[in-house]
Amino acid sequence: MRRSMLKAGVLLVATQILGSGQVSASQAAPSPEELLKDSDRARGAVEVGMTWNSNVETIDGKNTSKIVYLIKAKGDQAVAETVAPEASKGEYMVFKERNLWYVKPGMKRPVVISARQKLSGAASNADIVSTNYFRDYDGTIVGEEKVEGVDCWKLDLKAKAKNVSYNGIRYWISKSNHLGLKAEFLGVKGETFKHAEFKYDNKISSAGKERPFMSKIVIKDAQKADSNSTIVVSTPKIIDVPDGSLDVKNFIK
Amino acid sequence: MNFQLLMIAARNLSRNRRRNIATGSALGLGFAGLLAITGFHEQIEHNLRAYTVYGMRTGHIVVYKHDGLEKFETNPKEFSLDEKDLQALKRITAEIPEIEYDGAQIVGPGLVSNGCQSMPFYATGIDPELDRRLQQHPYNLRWNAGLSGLKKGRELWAYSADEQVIMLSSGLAALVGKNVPRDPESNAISTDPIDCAAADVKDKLAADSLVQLAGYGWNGMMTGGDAAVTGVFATPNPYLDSAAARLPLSQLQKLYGTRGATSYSIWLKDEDKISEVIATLNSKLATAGLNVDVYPWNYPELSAHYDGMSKFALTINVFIATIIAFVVALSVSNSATMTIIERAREIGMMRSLGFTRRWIRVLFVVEIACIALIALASGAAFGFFLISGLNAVGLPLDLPGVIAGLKVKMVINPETISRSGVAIFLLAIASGLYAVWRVAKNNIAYLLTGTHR
Repeated sequence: MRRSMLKAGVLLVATQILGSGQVSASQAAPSPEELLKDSDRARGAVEVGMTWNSNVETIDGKNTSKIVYLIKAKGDQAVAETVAPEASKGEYMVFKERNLWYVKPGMKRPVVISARQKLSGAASNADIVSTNYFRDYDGTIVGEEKVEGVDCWKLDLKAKAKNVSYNGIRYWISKSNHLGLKAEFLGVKGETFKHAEFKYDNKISSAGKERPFMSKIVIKDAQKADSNSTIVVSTPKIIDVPDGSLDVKNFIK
Repeated sequence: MNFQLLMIAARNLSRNRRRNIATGSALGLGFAGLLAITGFHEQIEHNLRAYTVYGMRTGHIVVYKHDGLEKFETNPKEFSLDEKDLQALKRITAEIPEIEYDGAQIVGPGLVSNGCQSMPFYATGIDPELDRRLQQHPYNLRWNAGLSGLKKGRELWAYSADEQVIMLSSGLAALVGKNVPRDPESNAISTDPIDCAAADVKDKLAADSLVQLAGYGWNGMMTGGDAAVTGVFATPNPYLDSAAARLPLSQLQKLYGTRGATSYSIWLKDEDKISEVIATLNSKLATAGLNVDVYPWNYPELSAHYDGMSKFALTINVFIATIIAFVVALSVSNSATMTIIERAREIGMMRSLGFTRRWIRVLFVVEIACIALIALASGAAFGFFLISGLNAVGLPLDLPGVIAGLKVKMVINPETISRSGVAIFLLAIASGLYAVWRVAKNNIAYLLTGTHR
């Protein structure tokens, strides 16, 4: 009788620990760094050159805007060239590490802009190109949760520097294939000011291996229900991007 | 009888000169103080009005898209005046002869970049020629003391319409290292690339006036353009000072990809006709079918700084004026009471000789009226010299939220002098009458024996 009560007590404590979402040491979770590296790869942070199209549709109340970017990325560098609408054709956003420049035909110098620009409502500039959370944030696994029925690790990310896009992120990465499925972006006071969901229906082939690649990102403003951005990613390809070709100097005419 | 009353009153005034002089001094100094405080209040009102209507370019009347005053910032595309609205407003204002100037303005945020770093700005776009007329308006020059705030360089109107120019607030200019505005005589603008890691980068940034502007168009697209810094201006508060910019209207419209505007401001030849013009304007706007709101310049949500400052100044000045009034009333009342008590037997004697209570009261009121008239004349002269002297000294006057550099310049207004004079005179009469009323109502026996005390 006493032994069965002891067993029941142990079972109760174990259930409570698992149910609380805290990760026990015995579960052998992967390191946060490994999870971030893997999830970044499916969102464009690859060492080889890549290109894809991003169709960004932003709805802000009654206003809707559509922009199409052609993205080229390699390592820490990326360039987003505006393809449509016609009036903005030929404009570039050039990313190098955490720095960002806006280049418009006819302008004598590029404009240094922040990755945090346009943080509320629509997608930020940093959202439309490759993501490098491994480089920009310190991650901690804080629990396990399901996202649309998929088992995920829940991570808390804290900015490593002031010039990254967000102060902090809550990030859900799938256990099975290490893809980031959901994120909550945090403001200075730790409040969620927008959240995002990610889909990975595209595939890229590298070194004979096929991998999933992002296909759609839906970003919603936490304060404004009628404000959201949808980024549809199409035709991702591995291409040859010569070293230095993504440098900002090459885009000033 | 009346002449006799005046003779007796004049004789009585010479009987206790020291007390009468003290009473007159209280009245005269009170009047001078009241003139100074009302003159100062009028000055502050003019300063704030000039600064709001001309200095801040608000206008006497402002037209917004319906709900645009509250909602433009959150949705500029929907709550702005479009090109058709602006054309209709131009046509309608041309039909109203009381209007002196009118024009559209646009406000909004953006980034100004020196090639190495960018800073956020909040800009006002205005037609440079309209701005010149406003800043050089006689009322603005008189009451805003020509405080355009220009610290360095030239105003926008010094440059041709096709030049891409910008004026930065002094704090913003310092943040982007552009403290040397462009010389309008020189067309040379360096477009050389800047090595942001170089040791002499600050000198290189300061050496040329070129900056790049970026912003989000009202259609959600990012836009940008070059501009030369033509001038650096001062702003009244630190927050604005690190972020304010001023551009030609057309240039800021281009940055936001619009031909519309935030608001349409109207300046009148005679500001007393604001209500009249608003009524005419509303009628014409309704006929034209424009969905807009019309506000007078002092509408609290439109001119919050003016509204707050004006009410604060009024409260302070009313408080001081009330204290002055109390001091005057108590002085006159005390002095009259003492005089009446001393002369109780005399009043009793007069009553026994057949003078009525009313006559006695009138006698004392005439005595006080004589003191008050002499005191007011002296007080007006003293107040005039006091105000003129203080104005001549040119004491600095710093109003919160207004560019520093104003001087004390109290207003001597005949209407205010006569109104304040009447107020002090009536106060003296009322105080004196109150004192005599109580004593004169006693019966003769009491007055003659002094037992009324």
